[in-house]
Formats: sequence, structure tokens, C-alpha cells
Amino acid sequence: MELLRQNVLFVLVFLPLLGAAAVLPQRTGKSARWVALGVSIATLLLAGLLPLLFDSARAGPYGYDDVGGVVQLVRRLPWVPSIHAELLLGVDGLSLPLVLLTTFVFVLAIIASFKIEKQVQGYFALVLLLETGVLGTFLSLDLLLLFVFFELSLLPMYFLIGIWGGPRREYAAIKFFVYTFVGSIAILVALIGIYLKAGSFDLVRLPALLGDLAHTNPTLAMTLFGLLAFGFLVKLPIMPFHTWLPDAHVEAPTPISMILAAVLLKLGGYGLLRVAWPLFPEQALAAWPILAALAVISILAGALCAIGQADFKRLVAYSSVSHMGFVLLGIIAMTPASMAGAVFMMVAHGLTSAALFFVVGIIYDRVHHRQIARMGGVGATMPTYGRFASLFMFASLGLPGLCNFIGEILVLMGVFSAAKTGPVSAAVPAWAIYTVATAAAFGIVLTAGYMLWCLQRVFLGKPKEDTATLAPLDSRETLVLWPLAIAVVALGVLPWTLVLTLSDTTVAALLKVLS
Amino acid sequence: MTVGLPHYLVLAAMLFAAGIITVLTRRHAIGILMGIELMLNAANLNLVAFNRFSAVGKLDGQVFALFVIVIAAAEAAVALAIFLNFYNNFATVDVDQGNELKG
Amino acid sequence: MPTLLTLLLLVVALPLCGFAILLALGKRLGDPLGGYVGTGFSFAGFAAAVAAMAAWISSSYGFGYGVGPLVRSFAWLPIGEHAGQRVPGFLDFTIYVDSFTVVMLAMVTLISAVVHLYSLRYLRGDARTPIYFGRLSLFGFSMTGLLLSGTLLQLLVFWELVGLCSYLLIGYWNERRDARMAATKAFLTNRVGDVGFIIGLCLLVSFVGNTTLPDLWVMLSPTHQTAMSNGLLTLIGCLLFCGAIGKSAQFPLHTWLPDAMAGPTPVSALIHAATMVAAGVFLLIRIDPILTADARLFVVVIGAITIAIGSLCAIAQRDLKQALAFSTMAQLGYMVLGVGVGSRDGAGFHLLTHAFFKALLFLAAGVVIYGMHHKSRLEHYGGLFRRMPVTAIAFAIGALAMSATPYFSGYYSKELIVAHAAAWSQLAADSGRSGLWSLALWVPVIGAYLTPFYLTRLWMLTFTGRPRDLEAFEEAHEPGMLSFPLVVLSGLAVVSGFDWFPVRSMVDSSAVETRAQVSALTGPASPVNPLEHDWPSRVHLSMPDVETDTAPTSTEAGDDRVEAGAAQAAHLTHWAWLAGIIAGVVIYARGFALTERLARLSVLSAPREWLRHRMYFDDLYRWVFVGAARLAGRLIDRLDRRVIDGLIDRLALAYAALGRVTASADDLIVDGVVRGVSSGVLTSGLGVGQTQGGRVRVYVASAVLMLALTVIGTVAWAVLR
Repeated sequence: MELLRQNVLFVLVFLPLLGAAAVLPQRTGKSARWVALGVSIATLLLAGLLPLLFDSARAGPYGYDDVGGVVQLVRRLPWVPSIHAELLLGVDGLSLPLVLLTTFVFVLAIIASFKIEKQVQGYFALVLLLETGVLGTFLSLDLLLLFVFFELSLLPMYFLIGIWGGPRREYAAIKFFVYTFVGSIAILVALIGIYLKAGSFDLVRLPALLGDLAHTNPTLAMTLFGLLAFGFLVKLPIMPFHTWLPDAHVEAPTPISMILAAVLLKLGGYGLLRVAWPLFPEQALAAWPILAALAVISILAGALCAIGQADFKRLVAYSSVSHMGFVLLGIIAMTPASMAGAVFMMVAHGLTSAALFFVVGIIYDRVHHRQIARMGGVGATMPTYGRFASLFMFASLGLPGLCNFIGEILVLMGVFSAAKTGPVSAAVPAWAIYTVATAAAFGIVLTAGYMLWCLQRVFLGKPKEDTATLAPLDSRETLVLWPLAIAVVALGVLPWTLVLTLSDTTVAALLKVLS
Repeated sequence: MTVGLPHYLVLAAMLFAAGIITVLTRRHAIGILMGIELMLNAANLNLVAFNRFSAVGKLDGQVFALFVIVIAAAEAAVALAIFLNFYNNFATVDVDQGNELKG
Repeated sequence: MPTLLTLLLLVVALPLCGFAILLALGKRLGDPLGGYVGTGFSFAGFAAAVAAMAAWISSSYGFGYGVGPLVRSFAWLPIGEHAGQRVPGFLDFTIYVDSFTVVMLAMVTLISAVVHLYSLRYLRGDARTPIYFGRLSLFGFSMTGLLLSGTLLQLLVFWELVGLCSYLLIGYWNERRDARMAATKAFLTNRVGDVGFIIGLCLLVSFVGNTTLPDLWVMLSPTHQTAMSNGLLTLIGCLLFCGAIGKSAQFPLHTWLPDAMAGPTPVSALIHAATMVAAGVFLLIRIDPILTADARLFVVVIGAITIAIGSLCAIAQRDLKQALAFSTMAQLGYMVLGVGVGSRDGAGFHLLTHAFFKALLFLAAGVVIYGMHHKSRLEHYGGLFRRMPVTAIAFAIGALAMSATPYFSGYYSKELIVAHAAAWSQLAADSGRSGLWSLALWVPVIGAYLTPFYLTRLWMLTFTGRPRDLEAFEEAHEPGMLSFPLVVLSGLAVVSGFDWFPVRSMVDSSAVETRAQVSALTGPASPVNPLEHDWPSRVHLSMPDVETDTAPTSTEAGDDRVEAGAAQAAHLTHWAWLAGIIAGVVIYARGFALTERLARLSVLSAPREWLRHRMYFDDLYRWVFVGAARLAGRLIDRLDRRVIDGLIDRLALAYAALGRVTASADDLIVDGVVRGVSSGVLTSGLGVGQTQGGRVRVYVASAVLMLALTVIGTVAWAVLR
């Protein structure tokens, strides 16, 4: 048992990497697929052990076991002693839901990838490499290690879009890479600055080490915070740093879009929660007006943009921008409900966006375009598919009983209560908070608007020429849709039992650090 | 006027110069060989003359000269063999035609 | 107790089971069988609700009829509990049951069951009926869940599910453009209202950290609360009311209701009677204790405007269902206005009676439409009494009930609202206010005259006179299976107003139970009982210019005013039903003949056009909001592509250009040096190589030359030294 507790995270992170190594020498694409699937399922099962090993009731401070803290299953190994960088992995309530989401989505994405015919071994090796990068980012508690994994997740994505993507794949891949790489550079600069000031990369101890930087050198602290925030906001993405997203999504193959939306965007939100905020809480408060404005702009303009899209996939991509605005809003409000809402929103959006991108992929496989105007009546030609799609679209527009609603309502409640309690109430005038919250609340109308309009044009009505005869869902597609549908409903009905109970104590501990 | 060392040396230098000029100007391989012989003989002359005036009672110079004559004979044999080959290859003994050593 | 709770949960769970079964097995069950399953579950739900009602009335525990409500809480989202940051009651899952809930449950399940039964025949032969019945079952689940909700958040959950179900059912015939547009419109319009609701909810969470209803009543009673300013509480009240504006189709979010007629007629009956629109009024009744006087004024104004719009538009509609839709709107206006003037019991009572006669009217209209092959416009009708007498009589009973004819149910409930409205406006006049306040009386009174008129118009044009569409008339018939529900509902439309029928008494008892709950929460020793000064004294007290000490004790003053108001209301509206009916009979005795002649007068034709086009609200909204959203979407998209993306692309281009410059600099300078060195070496090497001509003589010459130079140099060196 102790052996398991000590090593489970390392095994979890590097299992996909081993899998990638095992996939490459496979002689046929078929065996490569099955090996990749097996590895991803093993990873999922291993991640499924974590909630059992993780003591979510431990209401300690934001620290390690030695102080009875919420960060658990910690394992340190020496890495680069000269700069005090360690292979330091640990899990807490912020990372655990995201790790579960990641492993879950990767399994589905790999099933969804079974149709890939081009350089199959390379493809699946890259996907598994990506999984290692993402899991490593979520589980690293060493800033340098986190950065390395963060970068590691970037590279496979570049190739996955650039090689297996659509007609403009090279443009999209380069745009994606350059955009997020600029963000990474900002993070790298901040990382160096932090190390020079604090002499450590230990993310859990850094808040204490950097404690008085805000007073001794406010300019530097603000700069470092700005760099970190910029780096992670690009990844999230938040308007106006978002334009890589629609292009990347439109060009990426369906499974990669699923991963990109479901998991990679969460790296940004997770980075904000894990790095930027705990290290520089006062700067986060000082930057509140800008961040709040960005969040609201993302919510509203993202939704309006989605209304203006003619391409189904772009529409879903813009919906991500809008939803990620809620995540940012929840993070900046810094109240228990809003933070819980932000964490939940990340998980919920991970499920719905993966599902919606898969839904888009299904119709694209059949009609070979994504023009909403040329579709119609798909609900009549593919009834089961229509029902799944409606479920996910309603989930995405925040229907109660489905997962996104919980995230949105918690974020909104949290933002409103930020005017009365928590660190934000002391720093920001109440009217500003109420304005921001009210503006964000109108996002739900716009979300409903574009989702229903899209639903109406694609799925309802009489079938048009392109959609008159469509092959029904095959078993592989059903196999991807069912788990997502079940998860979407289950998280909407039992949000506490399934997700928030894991994150609750950590959010509380983190809030103590922030205030 | 007695014949002293300088006379021998001047004679040897003249002989040597004649040899060099022969080597440099003659294009015929045998001619060059003759020039070389001239230079060798100039050296022999010097060796013998230095032995006569500087190391009286010793035979070192003469021994050296004898060696040079022997080596010159051997050299001439080798050189003639080379020329024969040269002739076989180029159908001439004009050394300017052979530039196989070009770098 | 366990029986009661089990029964109540059964009421909610049975439709959900029906939905689940139909969703899973619908395709296998097929056309009639799926319908039977759904209908079976709905009737089981109704049976459970009736049993629950019986258990409730006979309950001998600490709750029950006239005793107190049943409240059960479970932690649903106990955020921050581990860390001790939890506000008590924050995001609980609460069941709150009082007499009103119980009677509403019975009504909703009954109407739902009747609509199921009716739909079996109405949609016979439609291949997708399992889907239809599944959606109906989901509707039943959502609405019963809403009725049991004890917190506003939970209410919002079911509230949205109700909205979803109406979306799905209005858009059931989604191959028809009007149906799918109407469905989307209904959902979006409701969402606009919901934003207000959500903001209000969040403000409540922010200020009192709780959305549990009984707690809110105690904490936020306008006369005693200290958590926030009166203005803020007014704002919260108005925001929560926004949700009801959307759901109950109040001005200005009423435009979805007439469009929703695109759904199948039984669905219209369900939406208009028992579920969708009832939810809004139900919410309003639940939040009634926290409404401030100013919020009430807002509610009254909205209700009055809605009565006016609904009553006027109903007169001019050419479509039977559209006219009924506007009549629903007007009646909802009555209920909303009722809550506004403090007549919670009147509103609740009217909600229940209205459910019966409106379901009756819609189902009767459905028979007509079904019999006339889905022609729903009045110009196709006429003389149908001979063809469908049961329907005609049922429609007449519904119309009479809605017209507040004495001894019909609508009479009792509407009179109660009008009486309270009169009392309210008198209280306002007492305190020197009239104007807006007197609207509360006059608009319902005028509405009371218009209601019988437009209903008579519909009845006359449909059932009397000469048939205008002979071909359809010849084939018109009324299937018995459709008539049976009409008979049931006709009975209820008559008797549900009587005192012995458990509607009025249940509604009244709900106030007693609410009071009991509040006292239980504040404790018997506490002098503060916010509900002690019940209606209408609270309105009276909260008017600032009234000197409370000179007035007699407020409750007595209120009671006086209610009596006076009842007298005034009786005086003003007692014969309204007869006046309206006579006017209707006179004008429409010969079908459209008289109105066509009148319409030639331009004085009358312009308003008629205005009313027919629903006062142009739809066009206005389409242009302003929908257009604006699309335009903004397109603009922002363009902004995104041109400006932001343009900037990025241009940056990339600039970067590339810079790269080219750097590259060429690289080529010229850095690489130039390297290449210069290498080419220099090469050239010199070649040059030197030239000297190695392979000519022995040259070698020798150079050797001699070098020797000579060395010698000369050495000599020169020696000499110069």
C-alpha cells in the first residue's frame, strides 16, 4: 500500500510515455491502435485509484503532509540539485478532478481516433506523449517541472495538427505553436524571476517564500504576475488572445479537437489557480479590473462571435472561449463558491466540449463539410445522433440537471458574493463587482441563443440535400458518446459527490493563501 | 702564385653553378643528370680541397668523395631506370612533359 | 409521515420513470403502446397525488392541513463545509410541502393525465408518439419537482427543465418552420427572464447566503429584515419576478406564448393550464412574503399591462388557439396582479381554477381543430354545434367559468382578486396616492368585461351561424375518446370554486401553514413575526405617509378595506359576464358580417390591424434584439478575423519580414566572413597549387631561389648586425 501511495503518481505520469514507446515499433496500425487504447485505459484505471487514495476530508492548510496539508501522495526525487529543481509530484483537490478528466477524455479520444489511417504508429505515440505532458503538468508541484511538462504538451499538439489536420493545417499548427509558445516564454521569464527571488521551485512553499516580494519590490511582483497571467490566459484562451483557438480547432482532426478543448485549455485555468494566483494574490487583486473586463468580454463577445459563425466547428470553438470566460471569472472572484465553480466548470466544459467536437466530427465524416447553412433535419435522418447532440448542446447552454449549469451558477453566485465576502470585496468597489457579474449573467442568454439557433438549423426541420441520407451511428461512435452522455448527466445531478467533494478542502485552503 | 684553397673553391663553385644551370635549363633528362653529376663533382672537389688544406694527414675528405662517386653511380643507375620508364610512358625524355607530381 | 413522503416522491418519480422507459424502449414500444405506457404512468402519478392529498389532510404529525408545512433538507452542494466556511442552508436540497403544494400537485398530475389520455387519440398514427409521450412525462416530472422545491436554486433547476420540456413539445413538429422557431423563441424569451431570476438569486446568496424559502421569509420580510436596504430588497423582488415575467408570459416577455400555439393542441393545454405558465405564478406566490411595497407596485403594473394586452389582442385574433393564448395571458395578468396587491390566496385560487377551465377550453379547441383537419382559423368554422355538441357545450362551460359567471369556478377566484385589488387601491387612496395605484382596480374591472366578450366571439364564430368551410364541415366529427376528458374537466370547471371542493380551503390553509412555519423558525418567544401582519396591512404600513398611530390597528383597517373592496368589486363586475356575452352575441350573431362592415371604418380598422399583429411587439423584438445579436455576432466575428487576427497575421508577416532581413544580414555579414575565409583559403590554395606544377625544373628552380634568398638574407642579416 505504501509502495503504491509513493509511486502511483510517477507511474501515472510516465505510463503513457512508456505506451508511446511501445506503440512506435508496432508493425501494423491495428496493433498500434489497440496498444494505445490499452495504455490509455490502464492510465484511466490508475487515475481512478487516486480518489480512493486521496483523503478529501482532510481540511488542512495549503501544504504537504508534514503540516497535515491538502496536498497528498507527494513524492520527491532529486533532479537538478544545483538549482533546487526536483521531480516533485503531488495531487490535491485542484488537480485531481482534472487528472480524472484528462485520463477519461484521452480514452475516448483514442477510441475516436481509430479511423486515422495516416502514420498510425506516430499518431498514437504523439497522443500518448501528449497525455504524459498534460498529466505531468497537472501533477507537478515543481514550477520548473511543471513548465517542462507544459512545453511537452505543446509539441505533440503541433505535430498532431500539422500532420493529421485539415487543409490549412500548417497555418493553424504554426499559429497554435507560436501563440502558445509566446505565452510559454512569458512563463519561462517569470519562472526565472521567481527562482532568482525565492531560490526554490516548490509551488506549495513558494507563496510563503515570496510573501514579502509584493512589499519589497511591487513592480517586479506585478511584472512576474503579469507574465504568468499572460502565459496562462493565452492557453485558456481569453479574448483577445484567443484567435489561435478557432483555427486550431477547425484544422485539427476530431479527436485532437476533443483533447484540445477538453484538456489543453484547462492547463491555462489550472496554471492560473496553481501558479499565478497563490504566488501573487495581491497582484491578482490589483489587476482585478483588467482581468474582470477580459473575462466578461470573453463571455459576451465569445458568445456573440459564435452567433456569427457559419462553420459548426468554429461555433463550438467560440463557445469554448465564452465558457472559459466563466472559468476566469470564477478564479478572479476568489470566493469558495466561485472557485469551486471554476474547477467544476473546467471539468464540465471538458466533457461537453469534447462531446460537441465529437458531434461535429460525426456529421463532418458524413457530409464532408461543416457549413451550418447546408445542413438541416439531421435529427430526422439520424435520430439517436440528434438526441445525443441535443443533450450535449443543452448541457453546453447550461441546462440544470446537466453539468455546465452547476459551474455557471456557482461562478455567478460566487462572483455576486465576492462583493460581500472574501479578498475581492476589500479591494474592489461593490458596484464594479455587481456590474461584472450582471454582464456575465447575460452571457447565458447569448449562449442559449447560438446553441439553439445552431440546433435548430442543423438538427431540426426537413433534411436538406446534404443531410437527406446519412449513415446511422456506428458502434465506435456510440461507444464514445455514451460515456460522455452519462458523465454529463451524472455530474449535473451529483456535482458534489462526483467532483466538488474532491476539490472542496483544497479550494478552502487555497483561499486562505489568497486572502 | 701558389694555388691555394680559394682557387679550388672558386673552381668548385663555377662547376656547381654550371651544374645548376644545366639542371635548370636543359629539358633533356640525360642533360639534367649530367648537370647533377657536375654538381656532385663540384662537391667532391670541395671535399678533397678542404681535406688537403684543412685536415692534413687525414683522409676523411677523400673517403667522402669516394662515397659520393659510388652514390652518384647508383643514382645514375636509378635515374636512368626512371628515365626509361618515363620514356615508356610519355614517349619522350623531356621532363617538362611530365607533370604527374602536380599538387 | 413516511407514507406521505413516499407518496410525494412517487408523484415526482413516476413521470420520471415513464420518461426513462419511453426514452430507452420508445422505439420498440412503437405508436400506441408507448402512449399507453406514458398515460399509465401519468395516471399512477395522479393516483399518488390524490393519495398524498388524502394523507396530507388527515396527517396527525407536526405538519399537515392547517398545521404546518413539511420541510426536509439534504445537503446538496455543501461548499466550504469542511473548512467551516459554510453558510447554513447554503445550496441545500429542500422539500417544502404545504397545502398549496399538495393541491397543485393534484391539479398538475390530473391535467397531465387528462392530456396524456387526450393525446392518445389526438396524435394517433404519428410514428414518433413514444418521443412525444416521453416529453410529456418529463414535463410532468419537471413541474412536480418544481412544486416540491423548497429553495430558489432548486426551483430554478426544475424551472429550466420545465422550459426545456416546453421547448421540446412546442417544437415537436419540428419539420414545420413555425414550430421550431416558436420553440426557440419560447426558450430564449424565458432565458431573458431567467437572467433576472438568476441575478436575484445570486444577490440573495450574496446578502443572506441562503435560498431556502422559509428561511428567506423570516430573514427578509420587508417590515423586519435588517440584512439589506429596502431598495435592494425591492430590486431583488423585481429581479426574481423577472423569471415569472418570462415563464408566465407577462409584458414585455409575453411574445412567445401566442407563437407556442405551433405545438400540438394538448401540449398547449398542458402549458397554459398546469405547467409552464403556472410555474411563474407559483414562484411569485412563493416569494410573496419578501416582496416590498415598491416591488409589489412593479408587479401590479406588469400584471395590469399584461391584462390589457392580452384582453385586447384576444379580441382581434383570427386563429382560435391564438385567441385562447391571449386569453391565458390576460388571466395570468390577473394572477400576477393578484400577488402584487397582496392577494396571494386569490392568485393561488385563480391559478387552480384557471387550470381546469383553460385546459377545458384548449382541449375543446383541440377537438374542433382535430375535427376540422388541423384548420385552426376562425374563417373555416361556423355552425359546428350540430357536428360536435359535446365540445360546444364544454367550450361554453369553460368560457362561462372564465367569464366569472356566478356559480362557476372562475367567478369565485376572479372576484377574490378584484376585491383585493379594490381594497389595495383604496388603501392607496387613503394614503393620498392614486394614479398608478388605481390601475390595479380599473384594469382588472375592464378586463372582466372584455373576457366574456372575446370568449363569446370565439364560441359564436365557431359553433353558430352558417358553416364557412363546407367541405371541412361535412367531415367534422368529435371522437368520443377526445370528448371524455372534456366532460371530466367541465365538471371540475364548475365545481372547483365551491367551498366544499378542496381548492379554496387548501389555498387558504397554505397561509396558515406558512405562518406556523415562520413562527416555528423565529421561536415562540420572539416578538417579531414578519407574517403576523398579513395582507393587506403590510401594504398599508409600508406606505410612508400613513401615520400608523392615528390609524386603527392595521389588521382591522385592512379587513375593513377588504370588505369595502369586495363590495366595490361586486358592484363593478357582478354583471360583467352578462354584458360581455350580450355584446358578443349581438355583434357576432351573423358571423363576420357585422365586423366586416365595421372594419371598413378606418377608425376601427387601424386598431384592428394593430391588435391582429399583436401590437407589433414581435416585429419590434425581431428587429431590435434578434437583429442586434446577429449583427453584433457578425461584427465581432469580423473584428476577430480582421482586427485581432489581422493584427496577429500582420505581426507574423512583420516577423517574417524581419526574419528575411536578418537572414540576408546573416548571409552578407556573418556568413560572408565565413565564406570569405573559406573562399580565400580555397583561392590561395589553388594559387599555391598552381606553383606545384609537377615540373621538376620549377621545383628545383624555386629551391635554388629560396636557397639563394636564404643565403642573401643571412648574409644581409649578418652584415647589418
